Amino acid sequence: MYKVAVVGDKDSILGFKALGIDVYPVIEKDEARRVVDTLARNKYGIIFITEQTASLIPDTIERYNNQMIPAVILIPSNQGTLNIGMDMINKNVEKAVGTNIL
Amino acid sequence: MDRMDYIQAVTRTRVLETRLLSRAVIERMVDAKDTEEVFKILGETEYANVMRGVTRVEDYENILSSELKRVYELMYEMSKDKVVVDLLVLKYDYHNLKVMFKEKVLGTDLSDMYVPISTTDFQRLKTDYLTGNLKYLEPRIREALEEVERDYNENKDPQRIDILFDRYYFNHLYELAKETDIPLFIKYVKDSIDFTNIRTLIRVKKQKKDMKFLEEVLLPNGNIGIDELVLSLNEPIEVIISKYRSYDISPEVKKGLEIYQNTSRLSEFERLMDDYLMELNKPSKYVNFGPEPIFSYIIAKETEVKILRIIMVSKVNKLSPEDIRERLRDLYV
Repeated sequence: MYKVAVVGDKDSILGFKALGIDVYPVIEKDEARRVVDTLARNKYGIIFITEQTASLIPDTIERYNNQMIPAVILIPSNQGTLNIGMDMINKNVEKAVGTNIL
Repeated sequence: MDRMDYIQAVTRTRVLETRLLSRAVIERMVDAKDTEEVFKILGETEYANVMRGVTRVEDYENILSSELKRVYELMYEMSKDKVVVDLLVLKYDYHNLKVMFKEKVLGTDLSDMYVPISTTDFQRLKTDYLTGNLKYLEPRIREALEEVERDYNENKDPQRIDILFDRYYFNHLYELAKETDIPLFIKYVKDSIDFTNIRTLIRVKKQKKDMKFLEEVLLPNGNIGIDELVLSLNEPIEVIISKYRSYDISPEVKKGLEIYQNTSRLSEFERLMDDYLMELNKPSKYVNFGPEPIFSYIIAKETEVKILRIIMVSKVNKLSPEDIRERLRDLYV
């Protein structure tokens, strides 16, 4: 079975632990990249990542967007949203439907 | 306990007290523009020694725990009777017991959850427990472990692990305080129990659990009787406020619950509780013969660490100075 992980700054993501999701706090760019790559190799099907952290490693995110598994999904952190996650959803909808229906 | 044994220790504590962070230093940190600046200010204080080797501000937690560890080691060395320090270390023991038990049940490694502060050699305790060698354990800890194990095998309810350990902790704590026969320690423990019980009452009420559950989680040995608290479960907050108005902790309870009514948050209640317990310790500054100053110094230090943690967490998450100030605790000095 695939597992679910969440990556980001500690204070934003720790709450996910209560849901039984594996929590991986990261601070720096290299750390974030390493963690995401390791998770992808270790049977994680969904990786939630905060927008703040994702914005540090756009190449890595892009690379996984072109793969079926894992699904890398951006979520806002406790600092609010940067709208990257919503933009990506809009883009995907546009790709699938042909027009932005959201 | 002979008060004359503490002449040297009190003198040393007096010197240490002068190194506690002052209101002015705390204010500077609150107004600092980012975490780096807080670190710079911290580097000018007693904390400079434990800051070596920590390069990332996000690792502030390491600094705080090394400092606490240092303080407890020093206090054990200074205090003639171990129990004075044990009173405040006991909570870490029970925390570690919880971790140890859960580690065993889950079969995972939780070693980074242990607190490196303990009244005994915790590593030894753990080995003894895991090898089933219970006869060297402190009797009260042994009883707690056996009861938790029995209960878990029967109910398989992880929440009960915490509930039971907490209850054993407060019983153990109360017994230790009573053995010392020092009024401050007994009062500190009894008032803490009352605060905890009222907070529990409000939480259980909010979660709409039943009386049976409340009875299970309330702690004995407080000033307010358990029966009375259980009956309050179905009463509105106003009634609860006026019902408990004849206790020492009543002004704080009243204020805390009034704020709770408006915000449905208990954080203010907890802040008032910490401030009350700090106020209780302030007369220790004028005690020259006795263990009280050591006890109060440790509490002052714990509060200081708590304040620093609040400041750091707030700075990392970019809260405004006003928001931080609202959450800060009263200082000892």
